[in-house]
Amino acid sequence: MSWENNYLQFKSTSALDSIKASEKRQQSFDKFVVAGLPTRRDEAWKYTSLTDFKNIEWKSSEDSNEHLTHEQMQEVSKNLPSDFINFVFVNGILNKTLSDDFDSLIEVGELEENDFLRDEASVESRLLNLAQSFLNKKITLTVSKGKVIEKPVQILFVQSSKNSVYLSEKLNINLAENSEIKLLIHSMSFVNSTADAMNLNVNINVESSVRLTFVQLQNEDNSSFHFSQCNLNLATSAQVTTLALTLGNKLTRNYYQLNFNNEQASAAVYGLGVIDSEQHLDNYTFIRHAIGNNNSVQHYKSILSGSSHSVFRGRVMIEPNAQKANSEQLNNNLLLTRTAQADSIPQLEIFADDVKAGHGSTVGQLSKEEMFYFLSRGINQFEAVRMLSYGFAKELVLKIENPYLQSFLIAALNQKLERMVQNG
Amino acid sequence: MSESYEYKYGFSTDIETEEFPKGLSEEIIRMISAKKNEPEWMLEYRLKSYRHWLTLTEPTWAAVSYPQIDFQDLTYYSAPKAKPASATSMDEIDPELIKTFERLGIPLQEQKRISGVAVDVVFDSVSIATTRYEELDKLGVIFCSISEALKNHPELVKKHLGTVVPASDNYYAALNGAVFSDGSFVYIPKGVRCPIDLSTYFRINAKETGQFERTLIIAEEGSYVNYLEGCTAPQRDENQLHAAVVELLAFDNAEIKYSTVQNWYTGDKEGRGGIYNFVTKRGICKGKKSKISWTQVESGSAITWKYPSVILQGDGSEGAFYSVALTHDYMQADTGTKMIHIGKNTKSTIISKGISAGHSSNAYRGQVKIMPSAENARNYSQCDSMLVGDKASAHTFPYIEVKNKTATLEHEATTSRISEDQIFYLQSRGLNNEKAISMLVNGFCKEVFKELPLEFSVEAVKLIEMKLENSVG
Repeated sequence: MSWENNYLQFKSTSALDSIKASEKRQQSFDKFVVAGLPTRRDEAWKYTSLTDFKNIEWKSSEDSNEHLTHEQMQEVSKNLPSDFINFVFVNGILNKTLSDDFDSLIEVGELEENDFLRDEASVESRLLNLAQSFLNKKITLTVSKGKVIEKPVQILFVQSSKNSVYLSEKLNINLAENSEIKLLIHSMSFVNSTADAMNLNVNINVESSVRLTFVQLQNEDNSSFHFSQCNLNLATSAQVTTLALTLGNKLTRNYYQLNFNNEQASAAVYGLGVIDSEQHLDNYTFIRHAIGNNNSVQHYKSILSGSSHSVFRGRVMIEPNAQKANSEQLNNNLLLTRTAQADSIPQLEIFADDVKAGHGSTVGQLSKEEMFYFLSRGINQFEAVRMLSYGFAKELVLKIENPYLQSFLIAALNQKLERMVQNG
Repeated sequence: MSESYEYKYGFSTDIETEEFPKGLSEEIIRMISAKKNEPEWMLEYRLKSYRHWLTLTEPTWAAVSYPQIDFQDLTYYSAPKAKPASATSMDEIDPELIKTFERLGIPLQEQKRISGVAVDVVFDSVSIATTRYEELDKLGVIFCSISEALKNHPELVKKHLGTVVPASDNYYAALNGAVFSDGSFVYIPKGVRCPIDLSTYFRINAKETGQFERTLIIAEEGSYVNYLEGCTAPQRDENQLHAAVVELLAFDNAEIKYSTVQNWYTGDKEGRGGIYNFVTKRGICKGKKSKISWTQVESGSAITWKYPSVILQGDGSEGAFYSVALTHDYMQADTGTKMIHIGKNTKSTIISKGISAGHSSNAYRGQVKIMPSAENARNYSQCDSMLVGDKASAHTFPYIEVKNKTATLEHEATTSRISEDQIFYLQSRGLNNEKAISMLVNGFCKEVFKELPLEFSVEAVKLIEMKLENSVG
């Protein structure tokens, strides 16, 4: 079914209350029809091709209100630790049975006109044309002033459709002054399911003195497509740690934009990709120091096996007024196989003189000495690769200090590494 | 600030020149070709380049901004009238020209042998004189202008011209392919180690003229050459265009060292005038264990757009890029390198130092590409930027593409300014502010300066000092 028919059907089944919002949605689709999807001719998409995505006949989410089977339910429950506050969305719909009852925190609401607002100049603009055309609701998470949520909060998106569904989600997160939250956005699908696609648009408003830990775990099936755009606005003295842990998916594109709008804030942006076979991961970060006296750290790592391909583009902009900004960036890539490929494009754009900014980038393989050490102690090659890879990756997961969240992520990482070594 | 710190090469030479009418057309290209008595295939090459150029659009991806260039408002050929290219003895050269080059400090007279350098001088579009011709001839080294090479060694030019930078490569390379007027040609035969440094000096004199020179250097098996290039232009309010192409070919075990000190007119304090320098420089390490190194000191031109690159095709070949780019006032530079690893055990080193002062903008843009065939490739890149003053900006855009797991790559970049502690330390030892800054900058650039031949490195240090004294308040 073409995008046009899809859109017409989607529009009729998920009408919006607000006329203005309806108009905006229509405009997004009109723009999509004219501009199309990004291609490799676009500088920001130079290393990522959407050809495979374009070749699939996507359906909109509304015609697939399928229920989970018993086995699937069990598999989902494994991903819902009791130490977390869990919210589960199955094919885009909040599943009350699996979710914890915590209504004051999260709300699924109607779209309004300004939910369609965005920066037209953004490199993801054309992707957002499509994403906004297929929006029918928004999820809002609010933490009130001074509130500290001790347990990690998980929002789990499960895709289980038998059709190839394109799902678009919008998540608005408002963190009031001096609040604290550890948030995990987890996406999964079932093994050997049909190709599915998801676009996750997250806007996080971080007010002054907020402590935020924001983790994305992308662990869908190897036929899935995952696009995400995270936009974080940081007020005074905000402290943010983010981690994008990518294990699954055929193609993943993560776009992170961090705006420092006031002084004294600090952000640590981490990313870890462990991918194999034909998987493709593209991380694009844009750290904007509009005001000075802020601190940003970025560290991205990838472990590549099979014919996988990882792209890291880290853009740091320090604007003329942002004196005394500090920015660090590091990208390490570990190639396990001959056919894996790593591209790294760190970009520094600096317009102020009293700043410290640096970036580093490395690509390499496991050292022969280290392998030899393991083999000489009777540990076989596969085990050695797994252990060394784990050692390489662990550092970033340990940055997430909450013990429950940390052990959950480590378990997911280890599962993937084991699978990868067995296949490779 | 004393007058002597101003751009001292800003004078223009009042000499009778022969110029073609403005504008670019097949007619003009035929005229250039006829003027130079070129063989038929050369004209064909030019026309093909021109036709391809017509299909291209001007690139806009570089981090520089400038008003649209009207390519029909430029003169594509300008030469001093007094029959220069065939001058056999120095007496036949216009004394006015000799004076010009003396003011520039270029020894045209043979008695200045002591400098130990053979010089080819290019004035606007044509080569004026090549010194120490005979001495090189004995060794079989060919060092002459490219027009002479077309006459005397057409087979060599035909075989190699456009093999490294084809006319279809980019917008300015295509334009250059169509209208290039002169440049240097170097051929080092098998096993010869060129005993003296070869040097070309480029000077743009005429108004509203584009200089399109073409340099071709061929180093046969086991040979070695050290090549230097210098350039200046008069101070004019309009912008002048310089779009050169440089091609280097190194065969088995050959080594080419190419050093540039670029000192084009940069425009005045408000950013009026100056040279637009859009250059394609590329070398190919064709043979095993061949080496190419680019060393450049960029302190000139209003806009620089230049990426000296190396294609590492031969197994065990090495490429290097050492660069200092200094921008001040309203200058804009977007410069860097490309290292394409194809052969096994290939190595490349990139050291780039950018200094931006005043309102200038300085960008490093580089690419390191490891192809699947490049086993055990090794790259080390370091790009440091220094900011002097709070209106300057510095950018880095490295592209790293790795398609072979045996590759080892390291890239690092830093941006900083001169710290107050460092200045204080030097001041407390009796150095004034300017001296202290220039000492720190020289230290910052030392890794690159040490790669330059001695004369050049002295010149480079002076040049940087002079420019900084202008721009540090």
